[in-house]
Amino acid sequence: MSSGIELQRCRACAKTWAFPRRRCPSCGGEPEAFRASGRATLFSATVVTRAPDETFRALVPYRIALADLEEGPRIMAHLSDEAEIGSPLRGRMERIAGRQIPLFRPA
Amino acid sequence: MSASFVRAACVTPFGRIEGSSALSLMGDAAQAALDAAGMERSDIDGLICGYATTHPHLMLSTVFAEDFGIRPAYAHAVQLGGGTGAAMLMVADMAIRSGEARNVLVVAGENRLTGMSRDAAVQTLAQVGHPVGEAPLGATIPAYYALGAARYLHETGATEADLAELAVLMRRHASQTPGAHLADPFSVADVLASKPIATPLKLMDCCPISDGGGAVILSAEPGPGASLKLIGAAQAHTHQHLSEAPDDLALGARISSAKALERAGRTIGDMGYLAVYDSFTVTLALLLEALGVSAPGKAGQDAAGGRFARSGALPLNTHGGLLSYGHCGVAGAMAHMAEAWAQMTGRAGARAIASEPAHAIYHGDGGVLSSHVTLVMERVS
Ligand SMILES: [Zn+2]
Repeated sequence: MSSGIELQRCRACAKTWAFPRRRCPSCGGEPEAFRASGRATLFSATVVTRAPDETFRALVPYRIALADLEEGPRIMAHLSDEAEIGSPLRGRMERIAGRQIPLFRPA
Repeated sequence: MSASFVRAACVTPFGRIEGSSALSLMGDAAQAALDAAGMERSDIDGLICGYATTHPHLMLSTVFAEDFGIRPAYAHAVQLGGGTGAAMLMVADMAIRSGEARNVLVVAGENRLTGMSRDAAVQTLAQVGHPVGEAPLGATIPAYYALGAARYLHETGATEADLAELAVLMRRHASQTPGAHLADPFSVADVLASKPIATPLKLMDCCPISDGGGAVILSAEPGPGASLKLIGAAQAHTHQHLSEAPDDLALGARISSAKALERAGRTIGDMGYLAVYDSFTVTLALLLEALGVSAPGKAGQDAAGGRFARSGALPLNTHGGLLSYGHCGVAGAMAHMAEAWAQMTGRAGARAIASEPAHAIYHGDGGVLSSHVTLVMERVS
């Protein structure tokens, strides 16, 4: 099952990244899109209690994490529960605050 | 070989300044700097200004020049987030050493507190996050730094109480600085008990949003009395967004400080005064450790031990830093420079440091540890 988390990979040099780009930041080559497996390791996490706007104020407290995907890129995501840095996660795109956001859970 | 000298570095009071505007705060700081340097408007032939989120403009430098009444031969604005103050001085130094200008006014100011709502400020600043991969997640600048802080505590074994020591030190310094936004002393326990913002950062780990302005005059001549000579400057830019930061989050500070010190022909051990960007306690810890001032995880303990106090071996941000003197955008980090100039040239009055150091280092950081600028300065008299 796909995580729905979109990544890009360079057709020329195979560099892989997450932020949408028109060309490879290593060699300028043409990117192709693909879906991440959703398997990741927790790099860091925080519980946010001061939200930036009304939409997110309704959700506090919520966890934001940096997840290291097994494909290489590090992405920012929501995290369902407390987890230790370095521990395994599984994630997929889910509807949060009316938009599609990657959400990870302890694996 | 030509060089540049800090002839004056001044800030306005920071905090809630009713009726102020970006231009009024820039003008107040610029007038103070001219007065301190004993110079006239006609002496200024170069102008470098920052940006103001409350006064977005295509040409802020010449808007200010017209308003303040100067006709520079060379002018432009600089935008590098919290690194702007140091970056403006670096480009002013280059303009002077190239012969393009002899007296450069470096100025910034912003009514960030009274000129916009708190939500608007939080939202504006949250745009430091990536528009697709970060900001839509409900992340804020404190959240980005909190992610760095959680990782820092995990890697180094430092504690939240260690970070709190840095906030306590900045507040103790600010309590004796006229014009500081926040001046009531507090304890480590107060910091730990303050309102959670984004774990592990609490309210007192975070700088306030302030109104304020700052100005520096950099000159080809040292002028009368003591001044500061710029002897080394360098930058490093490793990423923009936290998601693409190196694992070593403060790598850019390591690179820029090593390069600036090498250009100055000095080592970090030669420095006797520290002016280091401190938007959050963890920012200050990461930067002090990346600069080689403190061992990994030990910045807070160094602060607790008195090393960075006015009477300590290595005084740090003796005005109170962004954490307590206040943060009004670009001018926030210029206050570090104003204090360094005052302390290094014997102009700090009642809050003078005990030592008479010959060298100071000034480090600015923009974005989320993204853009780094380091300046090394030497006292000349
Ligand atoms: Zn490539």
